[in-house]
Amino acid sequence: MLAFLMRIAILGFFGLEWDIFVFITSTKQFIANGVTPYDTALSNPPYIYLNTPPFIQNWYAYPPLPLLVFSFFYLIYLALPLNGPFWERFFIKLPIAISDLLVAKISGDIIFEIKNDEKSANYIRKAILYNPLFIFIGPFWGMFDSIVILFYLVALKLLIKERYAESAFFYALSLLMKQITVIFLPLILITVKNRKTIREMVKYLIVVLLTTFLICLPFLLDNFWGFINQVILMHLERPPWGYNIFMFLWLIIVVLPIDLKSIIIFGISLDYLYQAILSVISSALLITVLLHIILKHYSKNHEGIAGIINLFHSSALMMMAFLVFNKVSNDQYYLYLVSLLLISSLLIDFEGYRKLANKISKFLTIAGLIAGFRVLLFIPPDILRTFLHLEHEQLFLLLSPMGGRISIIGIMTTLIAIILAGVFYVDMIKTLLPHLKVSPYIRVILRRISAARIGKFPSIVIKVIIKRMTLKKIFAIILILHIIISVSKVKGIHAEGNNLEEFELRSKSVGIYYLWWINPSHNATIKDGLWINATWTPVEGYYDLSYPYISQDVLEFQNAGIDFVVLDYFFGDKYAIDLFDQISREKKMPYIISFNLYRLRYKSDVSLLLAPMAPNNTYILGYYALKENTKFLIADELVQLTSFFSSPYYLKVNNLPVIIIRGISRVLPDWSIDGQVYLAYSLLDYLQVTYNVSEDNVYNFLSKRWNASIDSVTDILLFYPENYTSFIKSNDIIIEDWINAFNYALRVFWQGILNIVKEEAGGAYVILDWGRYYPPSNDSIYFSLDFNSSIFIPSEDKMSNINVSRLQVLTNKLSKERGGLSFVSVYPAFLVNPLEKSVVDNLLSNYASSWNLALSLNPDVIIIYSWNDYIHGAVIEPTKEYGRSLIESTKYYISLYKNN
Amino acid sequence: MNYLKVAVGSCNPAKIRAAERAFKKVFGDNIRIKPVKVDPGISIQPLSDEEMVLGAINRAKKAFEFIQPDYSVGMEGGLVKYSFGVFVKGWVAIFDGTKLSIASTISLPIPEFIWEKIASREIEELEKIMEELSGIKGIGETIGAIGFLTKNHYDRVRAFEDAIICALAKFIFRDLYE
Repeated sequence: MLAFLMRIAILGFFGLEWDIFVFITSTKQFIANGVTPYDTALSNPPYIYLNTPPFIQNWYAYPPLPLLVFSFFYLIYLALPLNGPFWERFFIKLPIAISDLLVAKISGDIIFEIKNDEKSANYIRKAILYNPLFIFIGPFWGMFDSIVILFYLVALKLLIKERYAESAFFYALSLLMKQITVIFLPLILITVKNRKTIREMVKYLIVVLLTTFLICLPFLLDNFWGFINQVILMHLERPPWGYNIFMFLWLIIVVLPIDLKSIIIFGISLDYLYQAILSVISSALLITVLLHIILKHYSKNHEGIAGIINLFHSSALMMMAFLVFNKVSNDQYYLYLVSLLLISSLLIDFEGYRKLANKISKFLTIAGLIAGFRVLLFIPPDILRTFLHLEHEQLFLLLSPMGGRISIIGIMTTLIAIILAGVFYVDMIKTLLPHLKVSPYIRVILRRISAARIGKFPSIVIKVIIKRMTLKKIFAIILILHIIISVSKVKGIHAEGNNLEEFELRSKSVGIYYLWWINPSHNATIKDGLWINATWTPVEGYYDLSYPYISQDVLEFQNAGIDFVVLDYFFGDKYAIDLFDQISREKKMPYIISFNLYRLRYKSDVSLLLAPMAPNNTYILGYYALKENTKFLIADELVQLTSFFSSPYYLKVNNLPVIIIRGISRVLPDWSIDGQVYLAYSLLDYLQVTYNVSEDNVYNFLSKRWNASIDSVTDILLFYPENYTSFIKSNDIIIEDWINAFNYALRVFWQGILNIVKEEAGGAYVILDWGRYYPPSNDSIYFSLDFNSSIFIPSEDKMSNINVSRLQVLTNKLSKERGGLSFVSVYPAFLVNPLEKSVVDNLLSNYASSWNLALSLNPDVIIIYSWNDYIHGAVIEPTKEYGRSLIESTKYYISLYKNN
Repeated sequence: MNYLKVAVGSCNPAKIRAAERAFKKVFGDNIRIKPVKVDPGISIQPLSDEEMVLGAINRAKKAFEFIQPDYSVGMEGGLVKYSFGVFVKGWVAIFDGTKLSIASTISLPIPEFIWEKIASREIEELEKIMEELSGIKGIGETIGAIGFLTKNHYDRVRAFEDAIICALAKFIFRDLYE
């Protein structure tokens, strides 16, 4: 009762966000519209893809029984006067909590049946009821593996009672819940055959197949390929993952500062190559070892109680081998091993198995919670909002817990989790190894073949094969077969590799600015809701960018005549570029990165490090302090991006990778001690350079100039401007000197950053967008920087108070003077206030004026701002309000531009 | 253009400035200084030469690990009581990945009561006393006690700058020191 109440208390409050989203959504679709998850998968909507690495389709990939179980409990929810995500979660997870209890009961019954020992039976009941891994995987997470285990154990219990048909039925139910129990089928069939007859074994198999077939039939008839894809093919294609033999290698690769994608061997990226090699080796190892365990089980005694004990023992070994060698070993798969180990430990009186099961349970629960700082993803957004008064997004952005995203917390917690997993992993291998010795089982098998009536010739052939086969030979054969299968795939990749070309930005090109909308939650409430202040509505509804959305968008770009994409990048979102790079290779759409200093405010942890301190000691978030630290933080972030420059689809000019840096005028004077000292030293440097004053004489020079006694930097700081306003007024020489010092420092600051980036990248084609001028304004600062082109892109800072046409003309002229490509941006609107009705009413004519200005300037490159800046109404993506009018007029203007 | 990368194990503007000036004097203008915040692994207010040297070496080595520069610099200031008086001074360590060089700044006598306040833990740091005496906030980030007590005829930046130049001798004449 206590164990059940514990579980009930957890159900509604927790759940892994993605899995619960998949279960609830697929159940709702099934109940409300009769749409199965296989239908949904085949229609390929964007929401079935992860928007974090590895960006794969991660939809419902199980046989149909979980859907039916969920639907039953969801109908109860609908029948009751309860509402909201809390209760939805509660009822979807309720069968898991119930099955936990039943697993404990059945395990106890099995032990009692075999050992006739109530103490041992009670022990295993408690060991399962209060097992941390059972509580973590089931009621806490929401994974239904305990239901699968329940059906499998019922099947074995019925086998003990020699009720074979019923056993086969329950075994089939376990298969219909999750495919994983298929690995036990050979063991069961061998046991049945040896306890009874081949005919009984065939009957068992027929019941299994018939039950499975009958329950799957409606789904197969409804959508054959959707079913096959989700239940079988998708699992074969899954990338390596989890606590398996290569986990340490994955970690090294994640931590290594090497971009494997950029290393091409024989036209294949190393990233693909190492995954393919490891997948082949792991599957060959797995098949060999499983085959070995099956043969060994065949040689064992199957009669009476000993036969059942052997079946449990072989099942445990089978599961252990699966977890060690399979390329995907998720946390929940360990639940099967823990159950089987606990039962086996009591049946064969082996303390080692019990210890191993307990170790796995403790360590894996902790590892599962902390890996990649995943613990936060178990707290649903509605709970965060209700109980912690936090928006999930805020918390998420603050701590960046998303699985694949690189953050110090993410790497450190994953490292700790892998070390914890390593503790039991070593024990597992140690436990498994003695069972992999070939030993005398071959002899037993040969004897049984002789005894079997299978004909003289086949008997001789089988004997010869078995006599000559060693594990090494089996492994070698499977490995070779695997390599042959994989080579065809590699050939395809190789062909693509040879076709890769470097993309050069040429005259008469059109680019489109692409913002990155990542909704951190797949919670339906947020998904169906609005983006904050969005002005128009996307035709496909509010979305978070994922693989299919971006792919479809890229097709639209190509159809409209757009040549490249400008990717909006802000601090810490390197994985967004990773995803686009992957798509750019598939769609042959080149791209460049726009490092956007306007978006910093969304990354609050970095924001505080970079923000300038105002005179009243508050931080001005979203801006950058003019001081040494800021310079290196920005430079480091830019240097991170240079890893993309080697991509063949990264746009180049004269073989130099192109990068846009946006908002460089957001660097402000700083009133922290560091900032003041930085500017004071800059003042000294400025005076020395401008007035040719020696270092020894600079204080004397300044004393005379300011008519004050200046002996040191601290004396200079006494004259530091009081606030931002005093930086603008140049009514006296002191303020004028500070303004000039600021301009000088700003130039040194940005030139320093540009030098670092160019040096690290081995050269770069830099396009600057400086934004509105902050006090003190001085065009010459920016003009004197070492950039190749300049561009005007609208932003909130700029759109009030400036003459857009003047800036467009100016930036265009600046680029031409430098011999660089000239850029002009076009946009339908840029609303600082979303209710600027005049703009809203005249969106198409505004867009036309913008294009006309651009065409009159005849630039080398036109950049459309933007595809999807919904907050500012700068959108040409099809919307419910404007349909396809903007994308169609874009197509028209692009053809005008390209055809002169 | 190839730059000489220099990591400074501190974000204190005076120390960054000192390193920049010293390296520019010795190696020319193609210098890239990168400040790195590191833990020197010693007390807030070092009170012996040994502790200052340890702090400087720790700062240099940790900064080196961080970005793998051509050189890394650690600077540590503190107080020392000798039999002949109490002095404020600093030590500098320069590391190139294999070789380490250290040098000290000049020493400046300070009043005995300052030592007593700090040694008795009545006040944690020299900077706090100097801020009170001079009325200059954040004096450690600018002229330091040296600047105040010499009436700006000498200051912290110059003290560390000179010491860095001296420590660089071991790298300028590598052969002699082998």
